[in-house]
Amino acid sequence: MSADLFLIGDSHIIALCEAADARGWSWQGGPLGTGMQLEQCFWRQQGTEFVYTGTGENLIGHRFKDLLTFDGPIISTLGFNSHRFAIDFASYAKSRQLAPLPSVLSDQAFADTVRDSRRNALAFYRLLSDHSREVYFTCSPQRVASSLLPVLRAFEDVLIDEVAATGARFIDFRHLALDDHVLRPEFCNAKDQMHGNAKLGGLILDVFEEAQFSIAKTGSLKE
Amino acid sequence: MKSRTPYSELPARQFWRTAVAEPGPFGLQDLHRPKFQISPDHKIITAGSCFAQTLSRALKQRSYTWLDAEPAPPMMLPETARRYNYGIFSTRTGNIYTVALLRQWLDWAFEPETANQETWLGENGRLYDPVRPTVEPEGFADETAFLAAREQTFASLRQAIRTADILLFTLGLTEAWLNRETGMIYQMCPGTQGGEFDPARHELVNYFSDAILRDFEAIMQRLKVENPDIKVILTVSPVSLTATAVPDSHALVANTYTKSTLRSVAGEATRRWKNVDYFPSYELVAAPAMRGMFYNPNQRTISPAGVDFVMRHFFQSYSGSLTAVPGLQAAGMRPASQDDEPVCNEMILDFYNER
Repeated sequence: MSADLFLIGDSHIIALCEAADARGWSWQGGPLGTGMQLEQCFWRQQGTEFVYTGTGENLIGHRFKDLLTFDGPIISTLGFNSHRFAIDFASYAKSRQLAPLPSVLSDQAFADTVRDSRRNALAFYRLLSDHSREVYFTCSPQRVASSLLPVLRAFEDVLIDEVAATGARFIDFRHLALDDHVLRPEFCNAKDQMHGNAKLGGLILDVFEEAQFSIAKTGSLKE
Repeated sequence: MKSRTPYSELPARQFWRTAVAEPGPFGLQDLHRPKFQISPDHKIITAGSCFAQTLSRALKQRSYTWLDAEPAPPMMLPETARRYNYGIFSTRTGNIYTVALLRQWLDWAFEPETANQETWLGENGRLYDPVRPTVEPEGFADETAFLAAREQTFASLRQAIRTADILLFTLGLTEAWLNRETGMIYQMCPGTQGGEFDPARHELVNYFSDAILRDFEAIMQRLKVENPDIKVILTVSPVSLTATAVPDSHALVANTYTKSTLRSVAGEATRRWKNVDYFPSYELVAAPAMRGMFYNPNQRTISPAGVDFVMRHFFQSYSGSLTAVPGLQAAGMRPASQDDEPVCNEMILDFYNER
């Protein structure tokens, strides 16, 4: 029996998987790998089959092979391992004795850097678009040191626009989960300083449901 | 008995027949005796005209310590970095065609309060830097971004000058455009890449050798203060000029004036300063004995084989190495790629020539 939902992404997707489980939703997919691993090319297409080529392909590849023909909404976190970009960018700025701000580069150069760094993720979203899939995506839980927040937010502003340009719809939970740009403690994964928890996953699924309902009302969602 | 003359004891390299005519272009030896050697540990910075870009690349390919004082973010792809002029010269100055422009860059870098803040407005409504209009292909969003980028390059240039063991500067042109009100020297003619040409404000200067030497002397004084141990290698770009703006001048004649003036200045500078050396890249490509074989069909730009030829001599001279560049195919067989195409602002002039 086909699942209702396809969840795919880096480790940030786990919170959504847990929330979907808690709601009893049937879903397919799961985390493909770490954000860092997924910055490399991680897939190829074989006919209509999505072939995962990254780490652990023999173990988890089968979970994703019918992604391109999945007849339902797909939610992805791919590309939004934003903390890594923010940390790398801050390290670059520090090496040049500059503050960790996006203005270290011109706006255009910064945007191109974001596109370059997430070119594989963007290719992935374009692939789904080429196959007319119904795609949703969400951003990171915004959990980085406060000094890195300006870069993280600028990074996500660019990437959200780029992914949305492929036709994917953004699930924006930030106005519901952040205080002064920081994830509220009740949504934080207690086991680490980076991820959100199942409660955050549930919040994201709520926003997703609202978006689906809104789209259904306007009739633009595929039948 | 034959009388002895100063020529009697001269080595073969000092006679045209034995040094040039008989060995032919590929048999040239002992062409240049450097004042100093370069080792892979020496920190080298590059600046100058298009041809200096090829020197940067060759130094990197041979694992010399080419100093990239204003590097691109590691997340940026090489082709993107190149579009934003990262990694082409040691700092993001873009091409520095004249000695006067180099002097201006150094004056501004070490005395930022003297930097002229004129900007050019592009057709896209964004701002361009008149001393390097192509380093930001889409221009700057506003003056704050423009000034921030300037300050970064100034800081990088200061660091590069103070850290380097060797400055490799390629002399390109004698013609430049300046603002007659402020004295600011532009990288290219206003109106070609942003800005608007105004004959009342913009003036063509065709520097003669004394003026170039005065600017070079100012540069040397600056270097003496900031880094007394730095050594300078001058080359003259064999790339011919794209266009001359000197009234009634023919491009071929103007090119001869330009290159001969620069060659003369380089010779005088080498004679005057013991830490300045001249490397004859110009001769290796442009001398009649080379039969023009290293020029592309446009007779202006240099073929990859020509660049390789020059660099082999360069490394032979400064490091005693004749090894080929790793991964380089046989001369003339190198596939064309964007990497091999200098980011040459002069192409913009050509664009207008074709209209």
